[in-house]
Amino acid sequence: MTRLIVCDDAPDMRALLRDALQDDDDLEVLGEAADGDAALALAEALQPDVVLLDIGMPGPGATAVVTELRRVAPAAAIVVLSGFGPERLDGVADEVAAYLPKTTDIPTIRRTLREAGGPAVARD
Amino acid sequence: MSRRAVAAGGGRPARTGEDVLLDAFAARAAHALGTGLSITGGYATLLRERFAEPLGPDGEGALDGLEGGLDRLRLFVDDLLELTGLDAAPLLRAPLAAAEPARAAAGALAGPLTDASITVELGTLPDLVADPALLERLFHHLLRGALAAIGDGPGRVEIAGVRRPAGVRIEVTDSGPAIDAADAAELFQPFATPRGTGPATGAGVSMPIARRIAERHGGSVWAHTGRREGCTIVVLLPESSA
Repeated sequence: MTRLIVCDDAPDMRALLRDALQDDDDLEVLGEAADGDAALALAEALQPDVVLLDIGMPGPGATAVVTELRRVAPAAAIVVLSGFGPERLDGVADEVAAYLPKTTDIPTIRRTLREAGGPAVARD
Repeated sequence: MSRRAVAAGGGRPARTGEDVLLDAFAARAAHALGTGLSITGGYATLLRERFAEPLGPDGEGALDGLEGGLDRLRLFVDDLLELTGLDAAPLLRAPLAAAEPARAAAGALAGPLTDASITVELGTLPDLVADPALLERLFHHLLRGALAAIGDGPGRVEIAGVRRPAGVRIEVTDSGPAIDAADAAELFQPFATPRGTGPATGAGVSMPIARRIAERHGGSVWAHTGRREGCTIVVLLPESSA
């Protein structure tokens, strides 16, 4: 079972993801965050297997959030799901397990999360 | 036959004010549209997964139509995202046979090309030094331009190239409508009207993307005009970029 948190500033997007991911028996949504600071706090508190991360949220920029996530939840794989291009990850792209454009279909998002969440790999 | 070439990009700065404006618009539009598209497409998926039986064949047909429309929007948004990221990635330079990315681009578009009864003829193409991924995207967008121009088809696209003193010259000729000099001059500019409006049109930025890729290699792109039918897009990639 892959335990994850969903981080996106759009409430309807979070609602969709929560709804769609609960249909997958191998995925468990532990919590949600609507901005960068909340994402960091939630990740530190819950230590999920995967952080599903929008990189256009209010608060710290994408680079800062990814860098800080590595510190507060070092075992968590980061999967970016964003309406912005991967160029926003300049300098931290290697820290991200996968980048998905926000247009990605639900089955692909589920599969990517399952793959990112296990089997456990060293992420140092 | 009288042929007139209209240059786009040669000797120009890599980024015009309009390019910058288009990038800013594209980034904002891609983000906003991507979220809406994601939500709509996601719930369409859940409808199909959870309610296939009560929907029945008519409902499934309606969902097919909905998802067809969403696919068009995805192409639109993905085009905008590609545009905004064009200058961000480092330019790789690798020796390669130009036929390889051309073949890969045509293969990836096999579905829409077949649907429109468009044949792609790959002629002789020289070896060159270029960014392999970007060169495939260059061919992808030139083929998308031809697809949009030809529309429902049938039609034909010929890809050929030759080494000249000025560099490697690649020509993509389609059997779509002819283009006049005024339209050709605008074809590669931001916010230009594309040659067609078919499903492959996307955001209509294939020609500006092709220009930007050529320019990243120090090259240029232009369209031949003055023909009774069809259009040839020429890409010149200087050897000095190798």
